[in-house]
Amino acid sequence: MEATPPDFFKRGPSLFARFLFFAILAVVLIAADARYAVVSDLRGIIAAVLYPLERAAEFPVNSIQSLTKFGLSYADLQHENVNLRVEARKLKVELLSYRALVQENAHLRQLLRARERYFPHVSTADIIFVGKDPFSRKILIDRGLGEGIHSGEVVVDDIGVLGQVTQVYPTSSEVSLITDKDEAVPVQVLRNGLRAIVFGSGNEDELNLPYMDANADIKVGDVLVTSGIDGVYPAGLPVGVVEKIDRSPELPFATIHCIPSAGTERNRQVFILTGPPPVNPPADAPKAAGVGGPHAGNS
Amino acid sequence: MLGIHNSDERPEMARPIPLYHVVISLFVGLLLNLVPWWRLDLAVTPDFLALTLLFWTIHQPRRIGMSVAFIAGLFMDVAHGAYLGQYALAYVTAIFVAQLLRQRILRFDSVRQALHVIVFLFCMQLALLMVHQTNGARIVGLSYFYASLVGAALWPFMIYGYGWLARRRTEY
Repeated sequence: MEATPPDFFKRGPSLFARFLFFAILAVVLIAADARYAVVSDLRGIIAAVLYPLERAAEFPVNSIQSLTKFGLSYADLQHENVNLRVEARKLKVELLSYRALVQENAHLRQLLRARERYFPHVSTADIIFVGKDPFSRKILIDRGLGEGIHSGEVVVDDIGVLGQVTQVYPTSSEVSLITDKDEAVPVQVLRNGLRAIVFGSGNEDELNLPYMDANADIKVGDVLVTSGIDGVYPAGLPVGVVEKIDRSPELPFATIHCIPSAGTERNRQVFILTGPPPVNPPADAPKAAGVGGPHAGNS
Repeated sequence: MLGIHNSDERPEMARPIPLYHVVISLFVGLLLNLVPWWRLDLAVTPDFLALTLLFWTIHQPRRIGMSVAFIAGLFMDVAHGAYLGQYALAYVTAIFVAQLLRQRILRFDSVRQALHVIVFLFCMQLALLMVHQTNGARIVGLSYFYASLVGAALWPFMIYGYGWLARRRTEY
């Protein structure tokens, strides 16, 4: 063994001991965060400190982007403005019939004695941060506890479902995208009402549809919408489109890949669907047991 | 006798950089990490905070240690929405490797130092990857490690900036 030099400058524990200490501390923290929600207070404090910094860091990018728009001519803007006005008027007309449909739907449901369908209230938020981490598909938005955001609320863009709020901080909240590997969304095939569950792949432009029978009636190009049976995602929101189906005879299930409809890359603004809190299960458990048979009460 | 030296009076190879330089640079590193680069369509962005931590670990080891790296890591965990402790582990790992090789790296010129920095950043990303894989993430391609190369490419510029700062200080 090589002789170690005499310890002239006492510096506390050795390098390796310090590394071991911090590494174990980090692993314990990771385990605590992954399995038990004991460190969410610490997260909240750090998030509150980070928030103003995130807003400040946004500034240079904002100015670069507005500089590139500076070159737009007046005519272009006027043209765009006219188009937007037409679009807005069209949407207003459609909204009229939508309101009528909501009324009609409520009325019909009342006749059928079905539970009222919930139409969420829409509020907007800006994306502040998209983690560059290729593993966790999470974004940070600029609405939090102060604006009445709650964990579990659904976030969409104008095309489809983006994800749901998973952490709420005082002035911001964290949204787990449906492409996150830990996210699952109950869906329905729009064409035939076939129910399934879509899982994120961790890849930004891919969703998986596992546990579908090899002979299930599903085709490339089928549109998947939320089925609304989980009480988190309201029914009927577009989730994705089936891109590739591999019905290999060796596997019990078909391998189905989908492309998510919504994407964080397209726009900076997202919409949060807030509404009446989800119906609490204990209240209608007896009803479900009466209708659905012996298994309904267990779920 | 040597042991009772006050740490602040101990003559370094150069005069120690004042603490506020270190604090400000770490703050800038953190800010740069929080800049939404994704909106500018950049393929890879280096981890500026890790680079700053590594820089001070090598050039001012008495100022920056693993505890600072750990806390900085916690900040990045929250910013990225990662598990609390994931970046902390990664940063501490990088600092550990850097401190192991510190004496050796100081004898090289800036470009050769940068080659070492690739290793440090690589270790950091490896630690991140390890935690992800234990949590069942998918396998990523080699392109994931490009960030290490880009980060190391910034190293010579950091050395230059530091030299400029030190020269300016000695003039006063």
